[in-house]
Amino acid sequence: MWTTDRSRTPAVSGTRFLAALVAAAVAVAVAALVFDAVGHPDSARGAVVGGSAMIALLVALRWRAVRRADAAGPAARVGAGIGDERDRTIMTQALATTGYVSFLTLTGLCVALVCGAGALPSATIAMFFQIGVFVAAFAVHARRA
Amino acid sequence: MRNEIRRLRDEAGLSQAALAAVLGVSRQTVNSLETGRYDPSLPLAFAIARHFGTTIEEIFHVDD
Repeated sequence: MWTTDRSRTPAVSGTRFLAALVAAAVAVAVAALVFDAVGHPDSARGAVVGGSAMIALLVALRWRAVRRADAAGPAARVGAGIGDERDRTIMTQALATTGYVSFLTLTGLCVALVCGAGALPSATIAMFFQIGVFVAAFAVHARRA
Repeated sequence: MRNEIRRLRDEAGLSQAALAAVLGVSRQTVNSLETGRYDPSLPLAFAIARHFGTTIEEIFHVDD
């Protein structure tokens, strides 16, 4: 009986991380192609720039978490794919909080649309609000755990 | 939940980082365990007990 992730050697973890990076790069490329195909070249460029920045951030987190594991926080370890059971618990709790708040966000979004707000700006605000909720929830749960 | 991890670690002359390395967790996790902010999974609790050569009941105590 052993659910703590000791079986994941750094090499295996590195392979998974590399696979995740490749999958992310493919997703960014597909999003950019779709945006371009439907006549939104600016959105395509935004997807490429934003996606590349996120991939670079993950690589930086991984590098820091592996090189200076003791100084890295839960977010860096989870992002790098080398989190322990507490890190994964924090991540799960943060995602649960984000999912719970998303019901309220969606309700607010529906009300805003019914009241005549623009769909694109409303959806954009809701997305960034949810990202903010996740970041705040992660920080709060990390502080409590 | 209270626990005896800090006392056992001190008696063993281990740093938090050393114990974390043995248990396969981060130093912050050991710190959270010692301060009672994080309750370990059952496998990790067994690993801690096994490392110190004692039982889970000897280490972890439920707050009344």
